[in-house]
Amino acid sequence: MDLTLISHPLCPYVQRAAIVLAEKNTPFTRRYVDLSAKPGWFLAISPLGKTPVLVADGEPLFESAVICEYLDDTVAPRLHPEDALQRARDRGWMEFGSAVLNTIAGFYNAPDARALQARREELHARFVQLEQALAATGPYFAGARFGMVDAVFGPVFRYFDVFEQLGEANLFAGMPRVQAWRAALAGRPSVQAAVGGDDGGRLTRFLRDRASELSRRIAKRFG
Amino acid sequence: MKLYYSPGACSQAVHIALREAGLDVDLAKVDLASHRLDGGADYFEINPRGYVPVLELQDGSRHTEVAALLQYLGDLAPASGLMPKFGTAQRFEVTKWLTFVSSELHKVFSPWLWHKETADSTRKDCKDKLASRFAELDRLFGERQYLAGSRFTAADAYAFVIVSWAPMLGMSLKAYPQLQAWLARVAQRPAVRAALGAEGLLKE
Repeated sequence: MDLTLISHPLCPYVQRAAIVLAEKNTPFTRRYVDLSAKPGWFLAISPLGKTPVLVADGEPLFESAVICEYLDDTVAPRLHPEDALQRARDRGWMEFGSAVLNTIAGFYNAPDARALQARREELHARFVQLEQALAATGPYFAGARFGMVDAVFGPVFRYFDVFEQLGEANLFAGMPRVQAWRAALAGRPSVQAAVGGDDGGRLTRFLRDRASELSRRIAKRFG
Repeated sequence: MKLYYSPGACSQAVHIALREAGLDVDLAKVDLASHRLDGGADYFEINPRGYVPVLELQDGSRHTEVAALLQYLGDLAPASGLMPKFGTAQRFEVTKWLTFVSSELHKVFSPWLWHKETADSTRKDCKDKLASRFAELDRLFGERQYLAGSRFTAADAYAFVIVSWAPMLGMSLKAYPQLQAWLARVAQRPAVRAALGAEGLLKE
């Protein structure tokens, strides 16, 4: 199958698809699109104008969750569990991961200190829920096997790496399972390749350039 | 002594020096956006200028400016080697590099590269200047282990913090292998690791 992943360098939803592809050892091409000036060919295959789009043998697919499901249906090995109930539950936690990404965006776009603190508390509560949902055995979400929920959360933790590097307090104190999970995902080659340990400072510059409380905090701390 | 700091900010250089000097470290974290301390106290009461670092001495007096604080700490702990003896050529070498880091590196990064409002043309000028300074340092570290010679000094503590900002902002150091090697050398020092760990910045 000839696979092209239409990408944006910062998009966590692209990274999720890239992780799934890497876990399946499937070669694919990345094609980057400028989301601030979306070309016509891109809008023609991405109805909402969002990344990622997977072009599989010329057929475009949009929505990252759908792309991940399609890849899991067509390319071995399976990342989803065989049991239908377990699989459905994992899909629930994948959605949960997307909700966390939305809150992260709310955090870095928060217009003032009060909103930033509210988003921080919301994120904290989400990870407390994850601490309870994570398999006791680790290292991955459901235990020894790397699965679809792990592919979703690899890009999530990348944000916290950068937030902490920029001097924001660690959110995961008192959450040993989340901490171990974070470390396991950071060490996973598919996650490293998709997220990039060195993302060229892009995320830092992106955060600096928000007109947000976080960007003001960065400027005050370092500038 | 009490150090008012913010994680990852230039106050880290003073934090490193405190640990290199083997002095007790009493840390007070400052939220520079709200200008509040962890307990909610107003930081402008501590430093009317609002910035970090502030070093508070036993007598309650408070002092600012990284390069000055580093020299003070080095003189308190001569065995640390952070500051060579007054009047020596080595002393002159360290004070020169401290000033170089302050004006040629730190104040090229700050405020310009950390603010969203900076014009692209200014940003480019700053990056070009830093690139030429990094190239010079790269040549220097081909000849010596540390900025002022064969020993780690206060100048290395300061430069380490500031040069570390480059990769954070996406300025690659790949073209400067000797500079990278020096950065790695400094990063491995126990005092540096302890400082980064205490600021919540140590990975692994």
